[in-house]
Amino acid sequence: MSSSRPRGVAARLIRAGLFFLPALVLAAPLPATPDRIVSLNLCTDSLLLELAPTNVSLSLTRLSRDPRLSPLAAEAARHASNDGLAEQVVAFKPQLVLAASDSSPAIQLLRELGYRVEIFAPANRLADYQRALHRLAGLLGSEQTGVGLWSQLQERLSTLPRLVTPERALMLSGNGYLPDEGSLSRELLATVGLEDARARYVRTAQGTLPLEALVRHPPSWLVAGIAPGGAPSLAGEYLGHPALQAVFADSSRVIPLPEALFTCAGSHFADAAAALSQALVRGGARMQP
Amino acid sequence: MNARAGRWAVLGLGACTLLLAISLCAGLPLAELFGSHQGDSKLGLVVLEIRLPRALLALVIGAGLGAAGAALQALLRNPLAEPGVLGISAGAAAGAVLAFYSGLSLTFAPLLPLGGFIGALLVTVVLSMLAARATSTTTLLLAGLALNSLLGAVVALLLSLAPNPYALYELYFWLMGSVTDRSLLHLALAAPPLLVGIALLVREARPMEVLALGEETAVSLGLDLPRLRQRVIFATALAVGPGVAVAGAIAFVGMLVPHLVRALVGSARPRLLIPLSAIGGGALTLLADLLSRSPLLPVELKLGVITALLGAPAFLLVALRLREGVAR
Repeated sequence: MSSSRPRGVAARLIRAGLFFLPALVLAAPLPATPDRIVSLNLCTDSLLLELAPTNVSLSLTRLSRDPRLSPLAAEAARHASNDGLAEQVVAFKPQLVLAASDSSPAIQLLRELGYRVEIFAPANRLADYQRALHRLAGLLGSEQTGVGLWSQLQERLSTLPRLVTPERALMLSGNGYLPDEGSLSRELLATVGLEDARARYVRTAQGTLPLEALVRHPPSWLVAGIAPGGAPSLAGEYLGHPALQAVFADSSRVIPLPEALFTCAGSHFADAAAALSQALVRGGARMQP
Repeated sequence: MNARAGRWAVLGLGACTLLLAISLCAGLPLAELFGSHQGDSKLGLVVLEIRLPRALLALVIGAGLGAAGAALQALLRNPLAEPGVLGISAGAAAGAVLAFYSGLSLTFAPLLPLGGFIGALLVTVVLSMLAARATSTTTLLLAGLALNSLLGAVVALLLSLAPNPYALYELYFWLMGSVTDRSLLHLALAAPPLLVGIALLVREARPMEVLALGEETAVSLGLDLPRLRQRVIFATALAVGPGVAVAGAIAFVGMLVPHLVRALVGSARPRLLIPLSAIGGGALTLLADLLSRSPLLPVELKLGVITALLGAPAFLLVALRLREGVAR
């Protein structure tokens, strides 16, 4: 008898649960979507600008207002801005904080203070971007927008002319800096049929490519990440070196590309790919539509 | 110039030539380089456009630093005086950074070495004013140290204000110094004023000889001390500033070399010390540049890292000896 009683209670509870379950679902408030969000990274800024409904208050990093760093600078300027300080985050009273990594002391402090922090690592490939869109859209309740953004991007990329046969290209940033193995640059090159020659070169401790190596073994195409409109920098002197200009006597083989377009993944990635594809056409490459 | 000094001068120039040859050809396929012109035309480009300016810049910049170090040590009667430690190089870097990031040197390239020269000149003037007040060796060094930190911070500040995303990365270049990937244009901008500066320092060596007897004796022998001071300051700034403007602040060469020369030649007379330090400075900087890109290292270092690794212990050694001397 004593063993059957709990069973009976359990059974009753389950029945009651099952009975009330539909009612519970209906009665529960819809999972609240946050309406005040702080972003602490340029790339999460970009994701929010693409996905967040217009009625959500955003605080974005100051960097994202800089047109040299962010293709969405004009949109970003319409929102509040922060410098990544915990103090500013608290003052904004957010329901959600987005960051790119757990490592900053500000993030740890915010977690201890009970803020909800979600980490979105910068996308190293488009598949990461798709996942990030899906996850953030879920948090914001804007799944439709997310799916739409992704399919638009896929569609635009699929219509771009690409090389008939792969050719070797090297992506260089200012000061002869070679982007990391895991950055979007490789995928950008691949989108137009270029093969990333990065693995053929040895980087210096600072991650740069010695000019000598580039002059002795030049790739077919040099894609130079630029930040137009900035102050003069030593960065530009690298590409202006006479030896490099002699090797790339055909200057259409050096393709300047605004770095902001592919620093973070986003719809603007298609703009970068389109610009790259057009530059290849201008440079006389054999392309297929 | 005595026979011993003469031998060392020839040896030093020989070392410079040898290091120059190594610097130009190291790691390149020699057979192709000196063979028929069937070979890779890019090799010629590497040697003439990349390695030649780099090696010659290291030579002239090092020569300027060596000569300036020897002259400062004589003028300030301080064995630890040196353009890097006293903040002259940092002043030059601040001047050059201002000329470069404001865009001025883009409109007129010679403004870059001019900026370096003016920055170096201002710091040297301040230092000599301090030295003229008969301050002690320690006070002068501390003042130099403060100026060095201050101007390093000014460089950092100017770079932070410069609206370009690479500015902070480039801070490293200005404060450590490097001749990597500099072009013939940089050589053309920096070498002429540097050589003039070195020549002026060598010319002032003779009047500086008298200074070794002490300032009062020198003045009683008819030395126009304020004028000498002005000339040496001007020449020092000219022998340091333009080099910093194209290769950043390379430390300790100006301190280390005169001491090596003194030890080798056995004489502290400015007439020997200044020209020999120029030769030695050139050789040492070129050697440091070779070491910085040695295949034995896993990665390429900044030139200034090597000179600091060589120079800072020597600085410490001299400083300790100096203290013992004072104690005795």
